[in-house]
Amino acid sequence: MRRMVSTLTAYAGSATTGLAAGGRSLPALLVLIFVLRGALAIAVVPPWQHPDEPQHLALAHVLARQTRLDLSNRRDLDVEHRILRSMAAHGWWQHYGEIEPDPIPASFDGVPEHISTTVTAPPVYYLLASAVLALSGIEDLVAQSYALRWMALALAAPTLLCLWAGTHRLFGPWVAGGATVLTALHPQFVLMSTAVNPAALVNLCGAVFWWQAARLLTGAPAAATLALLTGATLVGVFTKRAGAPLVLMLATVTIIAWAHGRIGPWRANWRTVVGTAGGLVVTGLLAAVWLWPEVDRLADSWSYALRFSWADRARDWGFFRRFTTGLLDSAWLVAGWLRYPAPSVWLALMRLLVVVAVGGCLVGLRRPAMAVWRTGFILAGALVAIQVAGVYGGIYMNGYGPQGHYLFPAIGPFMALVWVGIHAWWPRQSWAYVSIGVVAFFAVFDAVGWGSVILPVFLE
Amino acid sequence: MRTVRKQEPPSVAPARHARAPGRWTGAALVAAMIATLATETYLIVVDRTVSGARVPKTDQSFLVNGLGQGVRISQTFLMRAGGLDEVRLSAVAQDEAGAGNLAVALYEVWKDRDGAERLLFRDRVTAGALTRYPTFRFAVPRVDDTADRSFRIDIWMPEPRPEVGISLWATDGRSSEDGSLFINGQSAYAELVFETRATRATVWARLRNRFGGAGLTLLLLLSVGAHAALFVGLRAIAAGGHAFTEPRE
Repeated sequence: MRRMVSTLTAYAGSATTGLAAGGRSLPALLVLIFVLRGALAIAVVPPWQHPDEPQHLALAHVLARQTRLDLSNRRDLDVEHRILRSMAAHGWWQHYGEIEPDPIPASFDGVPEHISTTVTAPPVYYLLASAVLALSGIEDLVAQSYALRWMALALAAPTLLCLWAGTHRLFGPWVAGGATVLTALHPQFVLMSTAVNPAALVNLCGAVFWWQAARLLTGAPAAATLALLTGATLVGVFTKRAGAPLVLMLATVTIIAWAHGRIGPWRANWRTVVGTAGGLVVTGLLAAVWLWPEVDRLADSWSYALRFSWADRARDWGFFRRFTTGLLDSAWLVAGWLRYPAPSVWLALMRLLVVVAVGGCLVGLRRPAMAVWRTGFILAGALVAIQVAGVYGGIYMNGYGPQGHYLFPAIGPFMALVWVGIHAWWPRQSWAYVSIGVVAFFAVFDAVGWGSVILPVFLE
Repeated sequence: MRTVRKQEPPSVAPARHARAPGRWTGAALVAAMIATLATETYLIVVDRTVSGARVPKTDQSFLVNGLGQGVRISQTFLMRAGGLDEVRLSAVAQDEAGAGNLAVALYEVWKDRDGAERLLFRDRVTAGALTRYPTFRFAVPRVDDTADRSFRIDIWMPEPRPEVGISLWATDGRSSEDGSLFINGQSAYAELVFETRATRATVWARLRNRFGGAGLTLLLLLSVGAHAALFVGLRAIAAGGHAFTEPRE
């Protein structure tokens, strides 16, 4: 017994020393923080309170019950009615400040102002979610929604690791630690990472893309990296419209790698050859079975974004201002279905922080001390610019309202730029203090988000 | 003797600081964690009672008499917050305040439905209780969904006693949003001095209500773990701030 105690004590001591050293365990620590916050969000936020959860669960539920996969059969009115009843039971309309419909509509068609169906939505997330539901054997709708929330968190944890890895590759461990801790403390990101929503998967695609793009520019084997970049792009495109900018990013990254990067060797070993060939065969078979109809659906899903016409609303300067502030604010914290914003003072501070960071990036590009990060600046700036342009081109130009989480596929490069941009204003000797100040600021913002918004509104 | 400080190249400087932050960095680190914990504690335990509609006592204020003569005094108001549970009035006794009872009632009113109304709560208070303190607190059972809804509070003596001199303070003009004073149902260009309140349970109470004892203990343990991880992580990052870490080659 004494021996066991002394062994445990020694183990605890060495673990503490290892953690305190901070080195390799830092990403694991940051993922731990993120996962704990995610678990709290899952426990606190009532069912159906994340954006579009009802329709996403409905489709996953329908697919999970199919004995033979049929992606064209996407609706079950009975399931929709049950979900609407569950929404009423969990006070959804009360949270929205509206009178509950009486009687409860028979399907989602009865609440067109809030719920759109997912008949043309890209399929990958729903296939994954339906597989999880089918394997788990859960039948109850609310229990299914919680299972998918945990699945989202399981997808978000590696998102953080990819974010770390990509930033580490381009900017080194200090910026990687900073960008990852800011993401781990980001209240809206944790909410979207625990939602029944394809957002978690498309964010993972974006993070994998960031990591592989960083590898491509810093001498990693080119063939494997490009294959992974293409894979992340394809999965992202077939997951959510917010993944569409990845196509443009793929082309841009290739150009940047050619112009600024150090492209690695093209040689491939037999494992790569076998893996690639196997992947191509599987992809080809899948494509033959259901990909082509899905491409048609994808075209429908993207149709509004590809019109490239200006809605009347988009010509209004006031709408531009509202859209931009709404996009920024909801990227930081507006809980529920854009219902519960963070205190306005904090949202104003976060807007200011973005402006300071953008200015800092421009300053940093000219600082000799940051010259070594120039490739990182260019890549991160290009990816963020493409994602932002995608949101304005697809959403703003059509006159629709903004949702900040559309920016999250580029959260890796964005947070790296925020971290570097804020520090660029300061002399290097002050960076340790600036780091502490920035992280403390985010921690307090997160605390305000939870303490004055998320917990009070969702815990009655 | 003059000391010559040698300029260190960036790649050499970090080695000295990379493992542990300096004394001042450590102090900044501790200050940051204290600030974070203090904010969190404040947000969790602070009383979140919010003030709703309100009309203050000003130099335009005057006393509304006549309760003892059977006058019914009413005040309408629009509530912007949810959870109305208290209306505060300002009453004064002019002579025999201790005698007699008054009725106080809270109604929800719908102006867009021809003034339809619904009685939410009614109580009796003694004239002494109404005037004992400068502010009378009329507590009602919490009404959850009060945000953006209109209400009316009525006060009158069911058995009028003209000798009872009780008056309510009112203020000239319109001060609250969509509110008005009524005397025996007749609108006046004034409003009672009043304030509505909605008491919020603290976040701590809500967490305890949701998770219970064991769940709350587990939550606290996980929270301690998360904060420890944040502290250690921030310490590592701050140490890296001294070290100008370059990208991987």
